[in-house]
Amino acid sequence: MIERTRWLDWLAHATVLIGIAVVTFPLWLTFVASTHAPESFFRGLMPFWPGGRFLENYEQVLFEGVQGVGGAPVGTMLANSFVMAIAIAVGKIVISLLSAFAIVYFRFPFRMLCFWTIFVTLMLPVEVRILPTYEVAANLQLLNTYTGLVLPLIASATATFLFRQFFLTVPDELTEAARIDGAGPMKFFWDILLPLSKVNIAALFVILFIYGWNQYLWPLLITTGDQMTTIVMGIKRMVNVADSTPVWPEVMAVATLALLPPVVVVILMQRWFIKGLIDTEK
Amino acid sequence: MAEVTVSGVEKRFGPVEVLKGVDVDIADGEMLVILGASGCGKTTLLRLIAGLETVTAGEIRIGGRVVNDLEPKDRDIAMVFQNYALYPHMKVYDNMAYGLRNRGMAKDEIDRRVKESARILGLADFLDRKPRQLSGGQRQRVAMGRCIVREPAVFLFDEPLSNLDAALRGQMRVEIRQLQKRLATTGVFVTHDQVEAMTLADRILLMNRGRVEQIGAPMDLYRRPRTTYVATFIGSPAMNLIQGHLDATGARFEREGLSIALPTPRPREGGRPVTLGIRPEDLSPANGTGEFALRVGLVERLGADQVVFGDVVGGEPLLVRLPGAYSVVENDTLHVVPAPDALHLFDPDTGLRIDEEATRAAA
Repeated sequence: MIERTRWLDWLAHATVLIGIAVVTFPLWLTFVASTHAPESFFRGLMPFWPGGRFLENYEQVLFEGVQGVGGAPVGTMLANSFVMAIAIAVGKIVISLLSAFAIVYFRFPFRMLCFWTIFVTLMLPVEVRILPTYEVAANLQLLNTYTGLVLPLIASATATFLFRQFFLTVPDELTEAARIDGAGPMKFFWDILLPLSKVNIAALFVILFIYGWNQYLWPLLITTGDQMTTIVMGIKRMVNVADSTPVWPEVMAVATLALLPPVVVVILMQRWFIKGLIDTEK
Repeated sequence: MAEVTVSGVEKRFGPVEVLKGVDVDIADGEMLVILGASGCGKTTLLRLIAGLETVTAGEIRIGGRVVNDLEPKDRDIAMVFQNYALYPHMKVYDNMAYGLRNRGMAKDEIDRRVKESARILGLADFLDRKPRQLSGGQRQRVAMGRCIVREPAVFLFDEPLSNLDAALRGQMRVEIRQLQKRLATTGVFVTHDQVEAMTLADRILLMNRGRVEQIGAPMDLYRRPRTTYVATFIGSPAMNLIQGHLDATGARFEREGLSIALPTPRPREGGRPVTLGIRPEDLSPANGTGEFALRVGLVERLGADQVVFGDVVGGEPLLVRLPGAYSVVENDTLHVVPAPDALHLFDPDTGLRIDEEATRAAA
């Protein structure tokens, strides 16, 4: 047991406060920057307190797009990102739930081979297989489509593995009781396994949503048209404007907006998320 | 309402032979308790009847219908599991109704049956709770309720009381027995606890290493064990077994320093080696003139009675159960006399009971 002394308490608090400052300071600056007029940065110094252009800046980016940059309004980008992230998260969960169900509850030839094949794909993230994947997506006419954005990312070995581990902890007697109660495999899955996995699903949803939201490289390759741009790509594009300085307050306003959906998802799912991480409900 | 017939049932898991040919007929409305040490195959036999495993060889009939290839849900059985296996996310009501809903029963009929069962089991106030908000005994009742609402032909119990504390176990034992009698449903109850077996059973099936050791009414197994295995399994503390032989006339059991008269002489068996079985409770103190004397070792005082761990001459250990009031001093000498009709003779090689000649002739 660590001894409690006044000095240690101080140290612990100081450490925590420094940690918080390190994490939140950039966020604060982003927010502050998004509330000033563009001229405020020309001298190369950042103001520390919010300015008076909050409403104007956000209105501008949301409804008209960033000044001096062609392309889609931010609203479209947000919508694109949202669709992609939701589709990836939901798709990954559905597919991995079903494959874990198959692996754990059914005896079929090469069952373990299937499991290990899925498991081995953990070693092949998108970045590694990006060229062949692009080739395939292009041949299937999936460029500039939501399907193209989502499909290559939709299988998840991690989630399959997590659900498999969870299913293995569900007592066999429960399966047998369901069999005696006349529930077929899919009914058992739907009525019993799924409700029991609720917490795990919620936790995974948060993680996978953020994963989907933050995708950068793949959307950059697969989309060319402005209508399919995602928000993460969009921010990058706003910074690289030709022949002029970026309109920093507006870029920062977009960045702040891009932060919000993941935050909302985390806050909404927080209770389930934490529960899923710390306890295994019997 | 159905009789269950198990004939020549064998079960192998890979190279392991778990059941080596089991035959038993369970009458309609009878409570059969399958008793045995762990690993004897008793749970496997129950799971075969339930349809959770398939037989390697043999035939199982429920109500005259061969059920070998039927799914559990089509066998008209209901099962109580050792750890209850309640659906944790469903309320008590839904736990009980689930099986009925899957069968497409009408809503009001389900409601009637669930409420009726809940009333019988004293669960009426808990229908809206989740299993984790219930005590062990209540969960046990819900598991029973899930079976009752189905009104099945056969109840199957897989050691349902082993997760309960001693007091509750005694209470639930009585409740299960009353309920099964009242519903007059055939029951198969697996346990390793001989007290449960003795109190619950119409008949006991005692299993040993995948075979039936003996089937009979509880008191039959106690009074006339067919083998030494049954003799030592039923009864607590276990029956004393003493190796020796009969004298030439077959009237006395002889052993170095020990000679006990048999209630009926067995001239035909004269001279053969035998194993003598005496239950600790069939030995009573005799004031100095007893058939044999033993040196008292440890004494366990249980209140109503006491168990004396002693040695007879020749060093053979012997247990005696005496009334609690009787005063015994450790390291003293105690003379005991066996009740005359309570001597059991077994063949030392096969372990089989050697019956009185009269009964053998009749059979």
